[in-house]
Amino acid sequence: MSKKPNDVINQLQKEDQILLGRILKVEENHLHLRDLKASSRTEKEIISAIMKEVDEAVKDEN
Amino acid sequence: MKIDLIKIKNFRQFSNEAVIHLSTDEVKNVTVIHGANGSGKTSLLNAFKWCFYGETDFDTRNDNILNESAIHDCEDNGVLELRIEVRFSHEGKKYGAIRHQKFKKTSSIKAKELDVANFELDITGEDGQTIRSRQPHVDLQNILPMDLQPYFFFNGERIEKIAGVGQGVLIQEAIKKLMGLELVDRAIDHTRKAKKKYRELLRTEVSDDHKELLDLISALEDQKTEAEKNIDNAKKRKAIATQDIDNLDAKLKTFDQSRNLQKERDKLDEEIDKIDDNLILIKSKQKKILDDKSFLIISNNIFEDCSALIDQNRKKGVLPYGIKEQFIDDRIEMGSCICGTKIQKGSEEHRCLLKVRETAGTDSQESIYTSVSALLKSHDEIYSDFSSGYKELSKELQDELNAKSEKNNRISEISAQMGRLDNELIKKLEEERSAKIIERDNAIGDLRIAQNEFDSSKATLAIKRDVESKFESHARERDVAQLRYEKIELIENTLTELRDSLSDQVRVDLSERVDSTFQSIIRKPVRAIIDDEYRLQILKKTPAGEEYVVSEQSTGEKQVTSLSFIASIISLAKEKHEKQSAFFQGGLYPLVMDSPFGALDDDYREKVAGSVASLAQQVVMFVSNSQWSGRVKDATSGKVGKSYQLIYHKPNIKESDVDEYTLASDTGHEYSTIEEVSL
Repeated sequence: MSKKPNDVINQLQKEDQILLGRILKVEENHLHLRDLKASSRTEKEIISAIMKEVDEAVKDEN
Repeated sequence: MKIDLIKIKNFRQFSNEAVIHLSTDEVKNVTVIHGANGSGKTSLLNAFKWCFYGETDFDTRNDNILNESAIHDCEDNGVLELRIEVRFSHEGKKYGAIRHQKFKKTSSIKAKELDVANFELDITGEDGQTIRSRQPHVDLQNILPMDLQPYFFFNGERIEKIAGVGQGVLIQEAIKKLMGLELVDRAIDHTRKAKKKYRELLRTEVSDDHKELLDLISALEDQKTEAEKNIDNAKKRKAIATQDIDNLDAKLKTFDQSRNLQKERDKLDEEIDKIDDNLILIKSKQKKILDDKSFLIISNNIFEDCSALIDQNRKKGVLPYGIKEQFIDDRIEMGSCICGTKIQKGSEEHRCLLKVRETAGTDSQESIYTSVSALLKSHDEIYSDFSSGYKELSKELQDELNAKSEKNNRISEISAQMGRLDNELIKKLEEERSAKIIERDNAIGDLRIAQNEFDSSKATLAIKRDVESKFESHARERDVAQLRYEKIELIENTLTELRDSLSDQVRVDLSERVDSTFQSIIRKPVRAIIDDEYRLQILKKTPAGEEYVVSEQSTGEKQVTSLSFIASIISLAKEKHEKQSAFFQGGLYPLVMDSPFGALDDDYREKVAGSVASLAQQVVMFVSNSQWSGRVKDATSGKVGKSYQLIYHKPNIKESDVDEYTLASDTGHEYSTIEEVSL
C-alpha cells in the first residue's frame, strides 16, 4: 500500500508544495486541450510556463 | 454521456430503418429490448460498436453485416447503403455519430463493398450551432475511448474474462482512464521535459569532462524512460494478446468439431504452466548449488596441495603436530615420562621436553587442524555430492524440458488438426489464434529486452550520478541552474509518487465498492478484492479463519464478479465526476449489455435485475423473451423508462409457431423489426 495522496504532498516543504500546486494549475488550465501532441506549440508553451514557475521559486539573486 | 437514439438501416437483421429512442430519464434510466433468440439482440449491441469504432465481435467479424433481404430486394448491380447513426449528449453538447458504407449487388445474395466505411461526427454546441468535426475519431476517442469499450458495450455471456486472472495491467489502465488521472500524468510528462531543458542549460556552463558526463546521464535517462515505456507497452500488448487468445479459445469451445481439441489444448496449457513453474524452481536450485559450491570444480588440485603442505609442515615442526602443550606441562609437573624416565628440572630430558613444547599445539589449534584436515581430505566426497546433486537437477531440468517439448508438439498437432477441420470459421479462428500467440510471444520477448535495458540503464545511471555529484563548480549561474534542476526533479518524483498513490487510492475505493456489489448478489461466504497488482480476486476463509484466493469459479459466478467490477468502476467514475475532485475528472458512461443475465440461475438473475438500474446513469439491456418475464421483470419495475420488443419475421413458419415475438415473413426472407412496448 502506497502513501496517501496528502501524505505525499505533505512530505514536501511548504514552498515546494506551493510550486507543485502552481505546476498542477498550469496543467489544469490546458486540460481542455484533449489531443495534446508531443513537441507541439501548445506543449512547448506548457513547458515554458512550468519552467517560469520553477525560475520564480528558485530566483537568481544577482 | 447519454445516448438519445440509434438509427439502423440494412445492418444484419434490420432492413428497413429501425429507430430506438433510449431512456434518458434520471430515475427510470433502463431501456430494455427483448426478443427471441436470433432476432437481433447481439446485432443491436454490435450496431453501437460498428457505428462508433467500425468493429464488431461477430465470429465472422464485418463480413456479413449487410442485410440479406436488402441485397435481395436491390436491382442487379444496384447500390445499397449500410448506415447507423447514434445521437448522444455529452457535457452540454449534442453529438450525431454516423457511419455508413456503400455496397454494389453482385449476385442474388451477395454484395461487394464499394468503399471503406465513412465516419462522421456532428457536434451541436449550447448556442445551437452545429459543426462537423474535422477529427471525428479523435473527438469520439476523448468521450468513449475505444480501448475501454469492453466496459461500456459488452456481451453478458462473454464477460467473465473481462476482469479475470492476468488482467491486472488492463484493469490498472482502465482505472487510470476512467477516473481521468490525466492531469497528473501530463504534469509528470511535462516536468520531465522541463527537467531536460534545465539539464541542457547546465551542460552549457560546465567543463568538457563534466559536459561529457552530463551527456551520458542525459542519454541514460532517455534510455531508461524509453525502456519504461517499452515495458508498459509490452505488458499491455501481452495482456491484450492473452485476452484475445482466451476469447478465441472460448469461441473454439462453442463448436462441436473443435470443443474437445480446445479442451485438450487448455489442459496442455495448464500443464505447461506447471512445468514452467517447476523449471523456475529447478533453475533456482541449480543456481544455489553453483553459488555455494561451484568453486569445487576448479579447486581439486589446490585441496590436495594444501593438505600435503599442512602434513609436511607439521612433520617439519613448523605447524603444531601431535603432542599438545598441556600434555608436556603435565609430564614435567609429575616429574616422569610415560616411559618411566625421570624428568628433573635442568636435566637433558627436561630441556628436550621444553624444546618439543615450543612446537606443540594447543587444544583449539588441534581442533582447527582436525576440522580443516577432515574437510581437505573429504574434498572428493563433497565434490562428488555437488556433482551428483547438480547432475540430478540437470536431469530433472531436461526431463521437464522434454515433457514441455512433447506437450508443445501436441499443441502444434492440435493446431494443425483444427486447421484441417471442415469448418471455415474454425480455420479462421485458429489462424487468428496463431497470429495472437506470435503477438503474445513477441510481447514477452520485448518485455524481457526492455526490462534488461531498464535494469542496466538504472544501474549505470546510479553510478554516473554518483560521479556527477562529486563534480564541483563554483559558477554562480550553474549553481542556480543546478538548484532549479534539483527542484524540478523533486517535483517530478513527487508527482510520480502522487500518481501511484492516487491510483492506489482508487484501487482501494474500487475494491470496497466491487465487494459491496458482489456481496449483494453472490450467495456464498466469499468476498471480492482488487489486490495490490490490480487483479480481481475472490477470497474465501478456511475453517481456521485464514483467507485464500478462490481459483475455480463457476461461469455464473465469474459473470457476477465481472459485472460487479464493471458496475463499480463506472459508478466510481460517475461519483468522481460529480464531486469535481482536484485530481480525478471521472466521467459519465452508459452501460449497453447484451444478455446481462448470461449463464445466471433464476436467483442471481433476479438479484442482478434488481440492481441493474444503479449500475450506471444510463443502462441499455438486450434480453431474451424467456428471460424477460416473472421475477426479472418484477425486479426492474419502476426503473424501466423505455421498452422495445424485437419481432422476428420468419419465412415458411408453421402457424403454430407464430407468437408475439415471431411472425411470418412477407418477403420470403428473414428479417427483424422493432416495436415500442407501452409501460
